[in-house]
Order: sequence, then C-alpha cells, then structure tokens
Amino acid sequence: MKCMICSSLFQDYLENTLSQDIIDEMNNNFQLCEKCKVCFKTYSLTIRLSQKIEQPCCVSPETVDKLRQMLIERFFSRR
Amino acid sequence: MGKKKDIVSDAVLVRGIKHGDATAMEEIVRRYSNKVYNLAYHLTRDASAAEEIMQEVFLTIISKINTLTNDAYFSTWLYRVATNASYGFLRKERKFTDQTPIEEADQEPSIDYEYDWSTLPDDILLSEESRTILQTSIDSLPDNMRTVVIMKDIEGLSNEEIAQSLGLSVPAVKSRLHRGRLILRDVLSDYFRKYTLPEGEGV
Repeated sequence: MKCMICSSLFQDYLENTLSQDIIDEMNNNFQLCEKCKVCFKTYSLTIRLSQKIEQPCCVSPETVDKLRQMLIERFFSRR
Repeated sequence: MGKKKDIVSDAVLVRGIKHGDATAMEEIVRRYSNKVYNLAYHLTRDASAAEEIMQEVFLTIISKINTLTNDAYFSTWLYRVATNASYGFLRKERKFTDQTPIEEADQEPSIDYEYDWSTLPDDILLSEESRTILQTSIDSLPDNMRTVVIMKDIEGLSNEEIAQSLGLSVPAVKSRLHRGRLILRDVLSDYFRKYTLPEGEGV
C-alpha cells in the first residue's frame, strides 16, 4: 500500500468503516512502514488533543430562561 | 426501563411545535440551547456574540418551522441555521472570507512522517502552551476546514450531520476534515519537536 493511500484512509480506519481486507492491508503496512505508523499515531493523537483542548462551555440558565420567555411570547403572538 | 420511553424524538417535538405546543418548543430549547451556543462560540470565539446568535437561531427556527419538510432533519437544519448565523457575524466583523473550495486547492499539507511525538508524556502534550498552540492553529485554519474540524472533533457531530448541515457531500466533509487535521498535526509536530532536539537546538 502506498503511503499517501494509507494516509487518506486514516479517518475511515479510525471510524471503523473499512472492509476487513483493507484494515488488514493497513495493519500490515503499519508493520512494514515506520513512517505510516508514526503518521497514524500522531494523526490520532492530534484528534484526541483537539477533543480535549476545548473546555465545555455552557450558556447561563438566566440566558436560556430569557430566551424561553421571548420564544413563548413570539410563539403565541404568531398564532 | 421507563427512562427510554420518556425520550421524545425531535421529529415528534417538531410536529408538536407546528401544532402550537409550547412545551414541545421548550423541550427543544432545553435540548439544543447549549449545543447551539457552543457551536456559535467555537466558530466566533465571542461569548456575547454566541448568546445573540443562539437567540437569533431559535427565533428563526420558530418563525420558519413550517418550512421544514422533513421533521427528522431538524437538528441538521438547526446546525445549518446556527452556522450561517455565525458566518454572518464573522462577515460583519470581517473575520470570515469566502475562499476557494478546499477540494480545489491543490496544496497538500506537508506530511512529516518521521517524528514521533505520540510518546511524549501527558504533561507536555496537554500543557497550557501546547493547548494554546493547537487552539491558535484551529482558529487559523481556512474557514471551510475550521468549521468542519470544530463540528466533528470538538462538537462531536457525525460526518453525515455535518454534510447535511453545511450542504456538502460526505466525501467533501471528510476531505476538509482530513486536510485540517493534517495541518494541525504538522503544527503540533513542529511544536513538539523541541522536546527531542539536543539541548541548545530547541526553540
């Protein structure tokens, strides 16, 4: 398997959407090609770090209440 | 066992809203207000803008709910409205530029295969500095890629949801995502390289 093809399949490999024969071919390639293996490891880690960097943010309950009130007014004025 | 029965689908709630059920609308607000706010915040990086956008999105949803022909697509419609509202804000702020579609750009991100930074300890990988580097890099991605990376890797939407929300094909979403991730990986490779260079050669 060529390195560029292997790289282009990383997403599908991670999402488990590849057929078993392609998965086997990629696994085999990771054994044979250190560059692909490293690229895959760092690609996967990049995704995990992206998932972790963002602190979950929440809109304040007061804002949601205000929005709910506004929508109810709008909702009933529409009918 | 009873809990599952209590979960009402979006499609049922949307039908309720169309028939004037205010509690259905309240449930939609409860279910999606944080999601809309988060998406708007991550796209604009502006908390007060995100609140305004959230408000605008729900007002749009209520006023146009009858135009939604397939109730099962409510969430992707909502995300599309939220994305468009965020783009609208960024355009006003001149922080958004329509660009050449990524698929047409012929420059492939460079692939530095050889440097393995995945074995670095967590205190380096998750340091404040590395988070800042990654955050800045996400913010600096071309808008088309940035939106997809945020929706997928930060908001956790599926490729299909992103495609429907942005009016793209799934392959186009995957292409943008892959390129965006490769760019971020390159930036991180450059940054983490200093931890393996001999003393004096690091940044």
